[in-house]
Amino acid sequence: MAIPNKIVISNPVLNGTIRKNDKWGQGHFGAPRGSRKHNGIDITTQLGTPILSPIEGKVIRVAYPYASDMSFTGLLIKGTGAHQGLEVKIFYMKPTSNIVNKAVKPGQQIGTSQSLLNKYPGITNHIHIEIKLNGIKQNPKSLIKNIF
Amino acid sequence: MKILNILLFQLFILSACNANSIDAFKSNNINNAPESLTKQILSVGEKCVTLYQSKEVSILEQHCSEKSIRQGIYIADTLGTRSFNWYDAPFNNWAWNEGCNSEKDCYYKIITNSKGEVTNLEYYFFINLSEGYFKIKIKDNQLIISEKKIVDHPS
Repeated sequence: MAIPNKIVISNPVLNGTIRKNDKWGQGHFGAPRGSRKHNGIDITTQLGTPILSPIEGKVIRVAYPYASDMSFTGLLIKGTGAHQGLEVKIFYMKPTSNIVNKAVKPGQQIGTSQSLLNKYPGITNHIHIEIKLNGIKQNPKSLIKNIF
Repeated sequence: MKILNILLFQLFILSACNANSIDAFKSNNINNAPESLTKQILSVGEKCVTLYQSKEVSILEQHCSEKSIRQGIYIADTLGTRSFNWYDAPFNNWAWNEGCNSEKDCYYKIITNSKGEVTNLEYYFFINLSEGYFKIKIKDNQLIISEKKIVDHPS
């Protein structure tokens, strides 16, 4: 599905770049993940890096990437205004307290990055971001200006 | 002893032949569900349920706590409609909240006996970054987990 040209979102990490190759894989959209493909992009961080809302929207809830390891968290944000129709999930971040149900603007801090190094030794630390537009998965790189 | 072993082996083969394994995938068409399940869906609202269907069996998951019918799993087979508590409530709630990565990534494999009654369920999932399965037996009107596997993938 073609993405309307006018939709642009912010980089959730200040000057963040896409995770390059490490022993666990690569961070670009569609990168191999066993028999599947990567559903989002990974943006490199360090423990405690501020995570910024990429869109104008409402924080719907805390999200959990793993079924049996609730120490890793994230957020689900639904777009409003210029970002109506977007749904963003960000994993491997600790949400700012009381952020759920709050309206957020692009660039507003919504949490801090967690560390993956104990769970996946040797991995480049990162957050994971997935985006749907009207229910259809998108490549976040195509929406974020100047991310490499 | 040898004759007994042969008899047991034949019984095993016979029971294996009578068991039937079928896959049930998520369905958005509640009109295909048996009447009893359609009534349940309408009474709790479509937003509260996930319906999985095969030709022979329907499985309904009811997730909303404030509704008049209890949360849990409803199975419609040749026995009629039976309801069960969650086999793993934290997992079931997590799966409902997060949603499957695609509709094909979550499904039930259903095992029925020769009468068409469901005796076992296997739930396969790929949700967010976790993937795995639950193997479940129906025993004394309860769902009992006999085996489970959950693998956490790095993103």
